[in-house]
Amino acid sequence: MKSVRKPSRVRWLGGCWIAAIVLECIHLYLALVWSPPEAHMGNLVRIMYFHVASAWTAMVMLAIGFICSVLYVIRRSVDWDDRAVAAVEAGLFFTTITLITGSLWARPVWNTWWTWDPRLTTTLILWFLYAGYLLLRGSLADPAQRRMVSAVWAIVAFADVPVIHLSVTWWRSIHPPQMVTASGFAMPGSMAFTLMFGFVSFLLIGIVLWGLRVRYHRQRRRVIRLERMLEDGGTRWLDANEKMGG
Amino acid sequence: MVGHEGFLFGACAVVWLGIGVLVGAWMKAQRRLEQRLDVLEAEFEAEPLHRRNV
Repeated sequence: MKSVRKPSRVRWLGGCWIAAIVLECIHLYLALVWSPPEAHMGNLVRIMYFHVASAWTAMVMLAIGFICSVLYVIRRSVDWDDRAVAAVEAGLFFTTITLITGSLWARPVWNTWWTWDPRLTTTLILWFLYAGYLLLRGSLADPAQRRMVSAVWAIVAFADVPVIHLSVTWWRSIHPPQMVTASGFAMPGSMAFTLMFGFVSFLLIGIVLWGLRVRYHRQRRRVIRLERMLEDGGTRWLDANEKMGG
Repeated sequence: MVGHEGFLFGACAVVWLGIGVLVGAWMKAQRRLEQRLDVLEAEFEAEPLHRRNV
């Protein structure tokens, strides 16, 4: 007898979640208390530890989404599609955090909530590209077509990430330049440590969110499969579905 | 520029509230899905063998 394959449990999620909360508490202390204020911006510089850390985490999550999409196109395994969409969801969340914290930082420093600076604009484009990815997924009914079209979309959309990275060198920008270069950090050691600590902490939160959504999408496929099996109650649907992968 | 701490706390609130709301919403969706899965699995197990023996 064939049965519906049970999705594997993501056992490491609980441990990662506890570690992420502990790290983030330490990060809050480092960012708000331990690290020194900046000469011109004063305490406002502390927003950097959240803004930059979330921007880097967003890039990593979207890079995971890109790699999983490429692997889906090569292998056509639904597991890679689950991983890709979960990574994009987490990446889009951190991109949103980046845009909001950036705006909160810009208001007192640049005297505006928003300006059409190259880095800000390309980041906003990135947000729309990946929000479009999720909308596109919701609009396609055929599972195989949805997976393939969204994988191609994620691969193409990722081209914006290096553009964002290089935007401050390609065009005239009021946004601060890259903080980490080949020669090291463009800031004192205590600030660099806090920033890197924040990045690790946010990255762990990102991985937890990713794992949570991978599990959700796997189980959702299982629910859809069981619903159809119970509706049809026979071979016809399952055979077709096994070929499509859910 | 010193004296704009409200923006700093606003940024912290955005990060923490954002993570909290998102995790809460996703966990709720996860729980709902698992409940549905339990119901469907029970229904599937109750199906006569000739109907699920594919």
